[in-house]
Amino acid sequence: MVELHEAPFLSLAGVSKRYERVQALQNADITLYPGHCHALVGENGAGKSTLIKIIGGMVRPDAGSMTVEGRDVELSSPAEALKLGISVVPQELIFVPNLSVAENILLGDFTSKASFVDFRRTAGRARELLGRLGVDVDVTAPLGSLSPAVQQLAMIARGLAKDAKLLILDEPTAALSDQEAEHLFTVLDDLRESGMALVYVSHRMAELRRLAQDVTVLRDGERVASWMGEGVPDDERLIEAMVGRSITRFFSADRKRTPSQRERLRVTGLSRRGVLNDVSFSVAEGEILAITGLMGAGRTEVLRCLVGADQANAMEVAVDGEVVGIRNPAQAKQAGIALVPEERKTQGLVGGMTVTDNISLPHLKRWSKVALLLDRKRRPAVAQVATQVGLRPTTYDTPVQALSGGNQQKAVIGKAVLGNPRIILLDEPTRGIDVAVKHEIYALIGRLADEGCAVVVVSSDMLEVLGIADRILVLRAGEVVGCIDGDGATESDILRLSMPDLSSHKAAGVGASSTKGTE
Amino acid sequence: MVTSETAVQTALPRVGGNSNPDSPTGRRWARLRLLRASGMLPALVLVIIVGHLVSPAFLTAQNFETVLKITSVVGLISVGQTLIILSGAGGIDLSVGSVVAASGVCGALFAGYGMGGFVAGSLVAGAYFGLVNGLGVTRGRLQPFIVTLATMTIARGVAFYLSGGTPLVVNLPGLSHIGSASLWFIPIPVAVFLLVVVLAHVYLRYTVWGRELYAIGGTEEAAYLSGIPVGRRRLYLYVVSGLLAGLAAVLLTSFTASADANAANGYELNAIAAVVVGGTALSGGVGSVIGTTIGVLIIAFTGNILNLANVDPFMQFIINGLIVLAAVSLEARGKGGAGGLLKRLTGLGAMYAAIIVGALVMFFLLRPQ
Repeated sequence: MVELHEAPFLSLAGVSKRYERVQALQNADITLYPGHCHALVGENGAGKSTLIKIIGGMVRPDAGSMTVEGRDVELSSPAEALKLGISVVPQELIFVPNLSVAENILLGDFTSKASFVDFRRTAGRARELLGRLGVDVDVTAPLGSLSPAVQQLAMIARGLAKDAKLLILDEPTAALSDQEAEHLFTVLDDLRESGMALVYVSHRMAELRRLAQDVTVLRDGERVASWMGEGVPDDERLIEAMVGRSITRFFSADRKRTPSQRERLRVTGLSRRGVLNDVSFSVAEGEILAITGLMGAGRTEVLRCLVGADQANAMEVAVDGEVVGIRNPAQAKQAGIALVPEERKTQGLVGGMTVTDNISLPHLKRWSKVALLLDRKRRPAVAQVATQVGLRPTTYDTPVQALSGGNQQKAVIGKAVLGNPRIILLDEPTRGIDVAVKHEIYALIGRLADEGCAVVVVSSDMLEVLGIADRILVLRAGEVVGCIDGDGATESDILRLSMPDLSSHKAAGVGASSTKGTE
Repeated sequence: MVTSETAVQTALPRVGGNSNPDSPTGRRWARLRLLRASGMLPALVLVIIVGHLVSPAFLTAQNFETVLKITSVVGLISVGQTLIILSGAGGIDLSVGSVVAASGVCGALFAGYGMGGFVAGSLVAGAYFGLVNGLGVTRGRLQPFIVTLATMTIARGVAFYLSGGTPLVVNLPGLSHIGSASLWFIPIPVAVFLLVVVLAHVYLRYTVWGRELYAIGGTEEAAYLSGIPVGRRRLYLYVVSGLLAGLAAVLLTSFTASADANAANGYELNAIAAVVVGGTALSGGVGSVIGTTIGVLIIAFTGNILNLANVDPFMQFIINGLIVLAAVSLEARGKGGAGGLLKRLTGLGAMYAAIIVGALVMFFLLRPQ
């Protein structure tokens, strides 16, 4: 197929990177050739974005070496990477909303005369770059006022503007229509044929198949397989490399009892303008309900409305058959509903406070007398919960910011549990947590259900959803599109429900391991 | 304030017949921003009309000359403040008032070398304090609020120490000329202020670094990823702010022919108030020096009108504060979706109700002696 004996543009060897307690990359390597498109695949958290950030100069590795065009280099900023001809289009839409489309595309790269911006030529270049991608918009409009698709295409155009030798694209088609994506692929083909090296990250197998010659698979921060010059292998081999373990082994959440028939939580007609439309569901005592769907389907919003953090336009909530009004988090707490939020560092914990203080924060009134906090009553109560969620006594007086992500998450859960909630809502409870602690958290969720809590888990991790849920509620564009029994459900069941159009190339949009259902 | 988009749009005739004529959303945005940007201009006009009604002495060349001359000092440091606040990441310069005093004293020490010595001494001293601020904020990664709070005290101390606590007489014919002469019909201090405003405006709207400054303040990550040296640019801005404080010191000294360690006390807060009234967001990335200039003028003219109307000078503090509150209230927007705006407005209503109650208590119960 493609010749491999030419010199690589870039190679990374033995690269490792550790964030706190999570090993994001472990002795990983990758080699990128000019004129090749290199697919980078792996589950969420496999280390793809860390690898990209290292190549793009945004993150410094703890160990390892990098060679660009035969010379050893050490990058300490994106500016240095750009100088070497490395251009990264990040997954997030990072742009300046108040600046024009043209200014965003050519940021750091304006056409200028005597340091004055030549607006006419800058706009002309931007228009040309967008034109290559098949976009025709007013480039003088503020980028923030345009659609996400245009914003994403502008991000890609910014990547192209750098005249790079290596272009890295991280999930570039998330907000694009099929037609726009096809246009992009044609441009990428042209660039590749002209000798540019490309790295393409996507969960969508059809896209990778369409574009890539080389493939590298990452799992838990390590390179576990690569295929050079032969394109993307068949699903079986690829998924085996990515997952490397079976679903049953991963989730041995030993549940003691089956959910009762008593309905604990009933939500009827939950709507929030532009986000959620008439969402209804119920959860029984001792049941674990997983809510899943694609990004932007409204998963997190359901939970936020339920605790009154966001205001629903319409919603009826009944707890144990009794209708309760929830307009703010205090009322939710009153009704026995606790939320473990998505962002533990910003929404769940106060970083500088100790574990004990964090866990007891919402409940301090309980141990106070005339405005004085009675620590001798508080500490045993907190300690009991902390043990329950698996925190070691040595951590009780440690500021939470010094703990690992897993222990922080346990503290957030402990904080919710201390209120003896009848209903506990968990938003992405294991994101960014290493595998061993994930197990503990699954076991903990199982115990909570066994004790009679109604548990709602929002997760984008397919394996997690399938592994712990009694029932799975699938959302698409803010609406409930199905509710399936957790027992015997498969990824393709969920995918079929969440995808707007399965036949298109965009089919594999959720988990990395979701491809089985799409081909 | 003139928005960047209108400026760009006039500079960019749309080429190609197939070019999408202004998307409706784009147009709506541009209009909205124009409205917000020039929002305080009607307020300024209103202030001037009120002034005219209050006193026939208000709308006279002589009155304007006096007011603008005094205002040019705060005006200069407000321009520097605007640049720093625009650059985002909590940027603020609390030290400028003290730096004006310190620069004036430093300049006075070099007055023996003539006009050149005085001006150079002032500017170098101002830039020096700016450099200290900038290094602390960018290289040292300290909070701008804290760093500039510390240099505020330090600069004031330097001014007192070097002057021995008594005003230093600066007896330079050239200097008093600056304070008293006019260029055509514009007093020189006012001309200096206007020149700086124009330069800063052109810088922000039309130069590469200016446009990139909006990116740094708007979405720092985007600027950084585009290879813009974010830290270094911020460092320069602090130096510019210090330099403008040095220039302000030259003007201030020219009025009285003496450099006083007590001078420019609290000017930094007036500058921040002017920036806020002028529509610049404290979060960075949105705003303009034209807006700030309007803010400076609104505050200056209001004070002037109150003087002309024989209002108790102490009342001016109260009224200045109310102007700032009113200006930021106009920017209020809803948050958190359904009913957010209403909630916000009721909240603001509660604040004003509390203010009115306080005013009634003050006027009728506590009555001044």
